[in-house]
Parts: sequence; C-alpha cells; structure tokens
Amino acid sequence: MLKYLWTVTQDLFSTVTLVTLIYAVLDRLYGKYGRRFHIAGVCVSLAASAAFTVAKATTNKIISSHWNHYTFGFIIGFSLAFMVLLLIFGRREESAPGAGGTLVCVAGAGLAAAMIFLRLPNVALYLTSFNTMGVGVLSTNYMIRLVGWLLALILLVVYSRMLYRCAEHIRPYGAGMALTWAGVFIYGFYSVCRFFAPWITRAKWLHWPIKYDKAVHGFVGDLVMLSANYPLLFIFSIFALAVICFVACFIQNTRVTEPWFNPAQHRKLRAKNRSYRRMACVALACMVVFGLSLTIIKEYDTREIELSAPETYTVEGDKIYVAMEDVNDFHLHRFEYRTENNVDVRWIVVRKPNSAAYGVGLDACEVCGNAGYYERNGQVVCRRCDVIMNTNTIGFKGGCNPIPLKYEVEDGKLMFKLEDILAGEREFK
Amino acid sequence: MKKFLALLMAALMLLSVSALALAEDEAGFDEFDLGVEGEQTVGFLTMSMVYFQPVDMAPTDLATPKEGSDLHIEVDLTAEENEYGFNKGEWVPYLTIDYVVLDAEGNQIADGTMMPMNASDGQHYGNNIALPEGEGYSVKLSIKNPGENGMLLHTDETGPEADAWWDEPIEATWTGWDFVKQW
Repeated sequence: MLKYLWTVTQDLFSTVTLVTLIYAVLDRLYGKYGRRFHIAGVCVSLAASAAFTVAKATTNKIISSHWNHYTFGFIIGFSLAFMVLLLIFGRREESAPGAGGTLVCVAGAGLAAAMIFLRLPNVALYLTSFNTMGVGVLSTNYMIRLVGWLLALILLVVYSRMLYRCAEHIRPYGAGMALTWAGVFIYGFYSVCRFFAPWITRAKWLHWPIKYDKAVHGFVGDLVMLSANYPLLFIFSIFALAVICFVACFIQNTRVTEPWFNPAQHRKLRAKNRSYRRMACVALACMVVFGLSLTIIKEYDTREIELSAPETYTVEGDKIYVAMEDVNDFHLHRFEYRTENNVDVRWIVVRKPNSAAYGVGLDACEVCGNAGYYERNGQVVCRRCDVIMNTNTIGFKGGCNPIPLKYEVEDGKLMFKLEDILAGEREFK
Repeated sequence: MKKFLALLMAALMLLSVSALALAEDEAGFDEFDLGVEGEQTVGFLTMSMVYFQPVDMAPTDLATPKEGSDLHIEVDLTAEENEYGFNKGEWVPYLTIDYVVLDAEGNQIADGTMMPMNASDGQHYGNNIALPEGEGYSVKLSIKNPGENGMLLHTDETGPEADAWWDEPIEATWTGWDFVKQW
C-alpha cells in the first residue's frame, strides 16, 4: 500500500499541481473561454492516455523511451510558448481573449495535455503490476496495493480542487501568474534534462547527426544527471510553490478587507474568509501527507530489511541438531554455520501451518542469491524481490523458494548433516 | 514585436506537435548499452551488456517481478574458439552468472544472479533489478562453469579438448554507466 501511495504521488504531484495552476490562470484571464480550452486539452489527453495505456498493456507496439522523448520535446516547446505568451498577453486579469489570448489558451491546454499524457498511462498500468506472482485481483495483496493507489489519487484530486480555489483567489493576480510561470519554468527545465537522456546514453534509435561526446558536451550530460541524481529536487521546487499559494491564501483571508455596508454583509465576508482558510488548511494537510509520502514513507518502504539474528544449535560430530521445540512456533528461524573458508552458510526453518512438517532450506534462492528471507506479518518474504513465499512449498525446489536443505528428525530434534550444509557454501561466497 | 513573438511561439507549438508525431510505433523495445566498454571478450566468451525497462517473465514463480524493479539488465554472450566443445558463435547454456553493481565510489548497490531466458532477440542471461538512477556505475560479472548446474562434459575420446570445466569464474567488468530511466 505504502509503495503505491508514494509512487503515485511522485509520478503525479507535479503534473496535478501545474495542470491546476494553468487552469486557474486561464480562468482568471479569460473566464469560461480559457476554461473551455483547458478542459478540451485535458479531455483529449485523458482519451489519448487511455488508448495509449491499452495499447501498451496489450501490444508490443509502444516503445516508451521513444514516446517519452518526443513528449518531453512537446512539453519543452509548449512550456516556452506558454511562458512567453503569458508574459505578453496574460498580464491583465479578465482581459478579452483576442488572437493572443487564444494562443495563451492553446499553449496552456497543450502543455497540460502533454504533462498528463506523460505520466497517467504509467500510473494506470500499475493496476496490472499489482497482480504480482499471479495472486489474483481478489487477493488481499492486490486490494492492499489498490488502496494505496486509490488513496494517492483521491488525495491528489482533493488537493487539486483546493489548489484551484486558492490559486484562483489569491491577490494580486500577478502573484498567481508568477507562481504558475515559475512552476512551468521548473517543469520545462526538467523536461530539457530528460529530453537529452537518449542522446547522452547513445540510444541507437536516435539518429542525431552529432554524437554525444562527454569531453565536448559534458554539460548536457550534467544536466541529464542532475535530474537523475536529484529526482526530488524538481518535485519539491513545485511543492514549495504550492505551499506559497496556500499560505498566501490563508494569510489574505485572515481579515476582511473588502468594503461592507451592514453586519450581515460583514458576516458573509467573514464566512467566505473562513471557508478559504479551511480550504488552505485542508490543502496543506494533503501536502503534509504528500511530503511524508515522498520522504519518510518512501524511505521506510525502500529500507534495507535487516535479517534476524541466527539462533543457536548443537553440533555433534558431523551432525547439527536444532531442537524442535525451538522452531515449533510457526515463525521463521534462521541458523548460521561458519565454514573453514570463513563463509557463513545460513539456513531457515519454519513450521508449516496446520502440519507437523517443517519448511527447511538455505537462506538463499536460485533467483535472488543469498539475499535471504524475513518474516513480515507472519509470512516469509524474500528480502530482495519482496515476493511472499507460500510456506507450504518451502523445502520444494525451484523459483524464489529457498534452495532445499535435507534434514531428518532424531529424538525430537531436526538433524542436518554437515556435508549438506557445506554443499550450500557456494551460495554464500 | 508582440506579433512577431506570438507568431514565433505559434510556430514553436506547431513544431512541437510535429515532434510528437515523429514518435515511432514500430514493434519491439529499445535496448541501451551498459557502460563504455561495449562488447568485450574474456576467456572464450564475447559479451555485451544492455538494459531497458523491467519486463514480465514466465513462469512467474521463477522470475523476479517487474513490480519493484527499475530496469532489466542483460548480458548477451557467445562462444569464441574454445576447448569445451561449444560451437563458435553459439550461446552458452547452464552458466551461473552473478552480478554486482557498484556506484561511482565503489560501494556495492545491487547484486544477484542472472537467469537464463529467451526474448524476441534470442537467448541471454538477465534479470529485473532495483537500482536508483545515477552516474558512473560499474557492473562486475562472475561467470561460473556449467558443471555447477549439472551440465556434463565427455572426457573420453568422444569429448572436446578439455577434460574438466573451468575452475575460477570468468570475470568481466563494464564501467562508466550512467543510468537514466527513459521509459
């Protein structure tokens, strides 16, 4: 759940913020005329995203790297056009659109459409990756992931609504326009960084006449790597703009500044202020969740899991004994033996549910090597690929199952032959 | 001046739209070269490493899932003249290929084992892995002999020149890899 909370937030936060800010600016500039352009752009983009998502999920016709490259090119062009046109034709609120205003609307709508198209298909396609290991769409695992995904989307929709109301309300108009302009600039700059990624990685399909040479074009490589090394830099820059918008909206609505002529009017104005302050607070609360998602929750979710400490056993000659009462609790138990070559061979034991049998194997698998397994909510999970093991099949060969380890039961103890333990040494070298 | 700028921006938008129209729709996928070495021959193996977006694989219980992975890495390898009986130019089966990814400071940031698999471009060893974007990465491969996975070698007069598989793993390294997701 947490994974999709932060992943969807990371994918869509900048897009939602800028699409909303652009909508607010077009609304303030040209009213219904501006809104219609924007809505048309968003609708076209949603339809294109849906078609693209289906094509990507069901055919091999879509090469994402190509599409992303050209979409970033599109965004760069439209960002630049929007910024320039906004400065020329969009400095006065509630102006008549005219030809210049129409161009501003086209640029804003096109930019919003491209930003949505760039991100939305990937977010929609997460629905297909929930079904990892064929667990089925009615499984608890699928539902938990779906909840995280939906929660992030719902929060983003609520946030977008609040952002629109605040951005449309803050005074002077120039402040809202400046925030939008700055946001588009940041996103445009980010797009420039990503646009050149195929060039600096010498993608074979990109037939540009000038080949990338680090000695000559190193600054372009630096730009691209800036976006790679500091992925959250751009998101948090846009995050800061949204915070400014909400804080400004809150402060501007702490006192009634409009003229009023009777107590009823005054009360109405105070109620309106209160409503905006509440909106700003709700939006800021959403932003706290987003901020936590992108930092602490992401850090927690992607943390390196520590393996539990190895437990004790007895060695008698060339046999190793583990007392059954020590491993009868249906929890995961880990053991470790240091070989003459100074290699720590680990193995795990877990009693199978509703059974007297034990799942026993090396703390390693053929797929993920010696990453090991840990227990999470009573389930055995691979530390590298996060796949939940079926406890009943631990001890069977294949896949992400622990590599089987032979054992026998002797006098209420699990007995392992040292030679079998030593045979697993190569997995831990 | 205003009109000129407006026309210029309109032209820029038209150009951008035409750029999107250039997006190719040919079937397949893009592979990106990993590291600056390109193809290299170590021992009797000629190898090159590529990467691209994480992929779905079957059987699912054998595969590292796409979910949680950032990319798919592959090593394409073929045999050169050798004493083990592999035909020159052929893919070599039954290998165990362990990989380690190091960052620019030499810290290990990922490791694991590549699995044998087939794609539309043929057999290879590969895996889905989790890796943050970054620059100056290097990848070290350690290739163990097919005997470890149960492949036998004729050692009488019907066998090739060698009477045992190689002992020490064959090692190869790719450096200077700037990893940027483009998918």
